[in-house]
Amino acid sequence: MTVNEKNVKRTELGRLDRLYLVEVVKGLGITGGHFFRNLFLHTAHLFGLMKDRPAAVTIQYPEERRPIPVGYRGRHRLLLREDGSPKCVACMMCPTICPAQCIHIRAGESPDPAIEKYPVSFDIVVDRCVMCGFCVEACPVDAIRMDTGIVEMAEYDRKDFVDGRDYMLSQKPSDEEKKKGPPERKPPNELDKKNDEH
Amino acid sequence: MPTIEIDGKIITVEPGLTVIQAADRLGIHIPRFCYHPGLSPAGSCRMCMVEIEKIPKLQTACTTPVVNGMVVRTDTEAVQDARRSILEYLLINHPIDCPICDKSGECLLQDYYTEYARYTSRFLETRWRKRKVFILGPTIVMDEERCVLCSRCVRFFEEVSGVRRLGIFQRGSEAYLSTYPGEVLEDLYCGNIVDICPVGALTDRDFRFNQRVWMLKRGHSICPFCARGCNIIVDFNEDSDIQVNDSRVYRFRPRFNTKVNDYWMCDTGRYGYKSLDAAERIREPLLREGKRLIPVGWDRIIKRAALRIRETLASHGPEGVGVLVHPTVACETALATRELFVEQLGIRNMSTGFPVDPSAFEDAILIRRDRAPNRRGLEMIGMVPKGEDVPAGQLAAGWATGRIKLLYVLGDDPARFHNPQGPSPIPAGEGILILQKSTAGPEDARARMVLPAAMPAEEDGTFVNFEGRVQHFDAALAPLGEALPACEILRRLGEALKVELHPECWRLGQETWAPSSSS
Ligand code: SF4
Ligand code: SF4
Ligand code: SF4
Ligand code: SF4
Repeated sequence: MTVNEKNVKRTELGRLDRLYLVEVVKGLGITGGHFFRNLFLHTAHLFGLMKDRPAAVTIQYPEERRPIPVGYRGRHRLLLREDGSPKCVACMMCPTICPAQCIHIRAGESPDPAIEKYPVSFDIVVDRCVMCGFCVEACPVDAIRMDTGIVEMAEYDRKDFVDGRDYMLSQKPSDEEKKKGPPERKPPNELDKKNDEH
Repeated sequence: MPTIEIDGKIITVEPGLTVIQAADRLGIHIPRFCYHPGLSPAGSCRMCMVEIEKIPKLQTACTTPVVNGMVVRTDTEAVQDARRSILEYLLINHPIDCPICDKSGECLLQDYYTEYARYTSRFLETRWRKRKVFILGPTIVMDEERCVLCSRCVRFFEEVSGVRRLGIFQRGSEAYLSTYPGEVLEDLYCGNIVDICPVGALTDRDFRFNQRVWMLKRGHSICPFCARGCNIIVDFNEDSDIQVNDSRVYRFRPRFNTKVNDYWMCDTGRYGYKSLDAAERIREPLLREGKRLIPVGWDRIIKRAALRIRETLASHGPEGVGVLVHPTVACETALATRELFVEQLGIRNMSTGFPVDPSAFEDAILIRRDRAPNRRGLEMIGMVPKGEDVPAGQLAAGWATGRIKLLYVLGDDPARFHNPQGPSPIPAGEGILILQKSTAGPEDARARMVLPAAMPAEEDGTFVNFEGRVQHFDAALAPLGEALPACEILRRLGEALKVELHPECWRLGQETWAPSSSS
């Protein structure tokens, strides 16, 4: 194996540089410049002026938040059918694929024979989850998504990390996801449509 | 003896065998739906088509008998094409709802679909819809859309269980499987049709939706609920995160053994899996304190039991101690018992269980009147020198009258699992009652100590069935809670009693009658 060497030329310090004081003053000048600029801009913002020019690059979290990119994986939610029942059919594809083994489902017999199987309980242990999104990919009926936009996960109690079925069913997609609109669908297959009408 | 060639492999088989059977022997899997080795061939599903040299058309492997010199090919383009076409027909009206289908993971249609089928449908007409969750009987639920009309279940009732219970009605795509009008599907062997149904049309209402089959581990064991000793597969899940109702075992299934149970088992045995995780299972050693039995550690209970046995032997001699061995214990346990109590402690009050109830049900298929799995084994071992064994009734009487001061009972009463509310065969007595068993019973109220033992699926052992067939089994899963295999309990007891157990005492058995056949 060959190792590529690269010679970095060191800058020779001049006499002024060696004097130290000059450079310190230069540095203070930069810091001070930013300080007074931000002081001015923040004050102006207080009076509602120059709003278009942001002050310091720091985001004033938690008052200010960075927009979460569409498709960013947050805490899970479960989707509902039009009649309000869970879309999930408790097929166990997601616990099967889950690399963290943090999805626990108990299946039950649905009163509707057309649905047949539904989740009696559906728990995700969020602090064990590695946010891989495999569960979303694996779901054959698009019943689970990670689009709630909830990315800050801190709780006072470990048991609060266990998201239950009803909690996840009550979650809504984040604003960004809503803006994006419903996910693109493949054009409905003519045959499927016919079958569904039957 | 005809010699035939299948896919270049040569095999000589006895005449009368069919091509599919010969292929199975060679380990060549020919896809099939209607053919089941335990049933007569029907030749109706056309899935097992193979090419035979000198025959112009494809033949069904399940109905074509082997002929000397036959050359069969199962992997040609024509065969693949035939399979694809058959699958296309089957899938016209099939719902392919594998995600919610309980058979998914062990479904033949699913396997063949992924292997041979064309994936996009060319069907333009409307699909035929049928009944989805249709309850056939107390244990079986039917999905007519998934049925491939292979008639395995129909033939099972005709040929194995002996009563026609199901039939295929109507014709063509309107055909459906059902019980005869107004009849409820009830049979002592119902569960088998769920096993043999190649698809998810028949599912077990008990197992349904509890687990996906790929989450289960499997172990092998012997059914302990009657003297037949059917070979079984134990499907269990030890991962407490995905257990339902804290159960580890979810089903028993028959394991093929031509000499004992073929491909079948009875429903009593099948649903007997519940006894493994039943609330009545004894999970830790129990010691009586006043009116209550309180859980204690193994060390304490073993010491206490040894102390009581020693005391009784000292004060009343071997006559004061009785040992009752229920024929539900394995041969190894019986040998260790004989070694400990008879050979070492000189106890002669030894009985090998109560006689068989002559009024119990028995049939000509599998179920035996004798509900104990190992009566024959205890007889073969000879727990006490010939002619000296005490009938259980006499032992119980001695106990009831107070002649026997300490009674040590090994194993569960065979009637317990069939009639959990039934009376205890052990009468009330004044002395010290020590029970070593797996499941709580009415006699516990009088017991001084209860030592939790493993159930057969949780320990190694050997049963001898009613025909004298020696069947060894290995532990499928670990004992529940603190329970220990019976041999281990006896070993610890021997240690505490400071008697040297013959180190080979449980191996001795296997040498005496080296397994003539197991599984
Ligand atoms: S995101 Fe990944 S780790 Fe988290 S629940 Fe889904 S599959 Fe499991
Ligand atoms: S994969 Fe989808 S339908 Fe299946 S259990 Fe998970 S969420 Fe429910
Ligand atoms: S019967 Fe087989 S192919 Fe059909 S839905 Fe069930 S698992 Fe899938
Ligand atoms: S229910 Fe199952 S075994 Fe019976 S005919 Fe249909 S597919 Fe075959």
